[in-house]
Amino acid sequence: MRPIRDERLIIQNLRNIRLAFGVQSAGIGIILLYTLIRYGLEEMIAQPVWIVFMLTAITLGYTNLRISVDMDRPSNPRKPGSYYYNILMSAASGLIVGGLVWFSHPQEPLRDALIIGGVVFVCLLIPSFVVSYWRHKKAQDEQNEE
Amino acid sequence: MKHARVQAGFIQQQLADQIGVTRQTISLIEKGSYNPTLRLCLEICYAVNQSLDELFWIDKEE
Repeated sequence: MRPIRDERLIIQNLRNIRLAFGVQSAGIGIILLYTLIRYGLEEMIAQPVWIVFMLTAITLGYTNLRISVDMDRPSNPRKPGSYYYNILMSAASGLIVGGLVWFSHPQEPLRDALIIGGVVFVCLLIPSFVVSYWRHKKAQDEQNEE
Repeated sequence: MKHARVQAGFIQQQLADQIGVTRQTISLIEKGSYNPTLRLCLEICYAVNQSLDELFWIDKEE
């Protein structure tokens, strides 16, 4: 099959993919809802389609971060913060959540608190880094424009 | 645009082949049913030896 070069057909193809994505997501949603009602939350999370659903949601979320940054028009535009600030904030959040888990469940091993704190750290660090990267790029573009 | 194409001696398929789109796209642009990107507008202008202004300019409706 030849690659599509016609811009109108490329746009049409993207629209078709969007429609197929909607149908697929609706199908996965129905399967998960059925499993939730019939067998409960544990069984729903154990389903492979749950992982597909979550991966799709994460991918969509990450790709939409750039749109959010482009849409963002702060009332007092200033230079975006340093990358070290992201590491610091993510580490602080991970430590707080990990500490809360450790203090609230002292009978559980310390490893659990470390894992939860680590997950919070990573889950905050990556998106904040991505947002910072796009903000820096946007600020650089605006500077070049001036 | 149709006038410029005919003047340049192209049928829709020839113009489409030259700029790398389908004939239907040319047909839809001529009918005003498809709004091409600036890049495609320029390709059409280069092919028929006309300026963007001559080919695509429309006065703003009051």
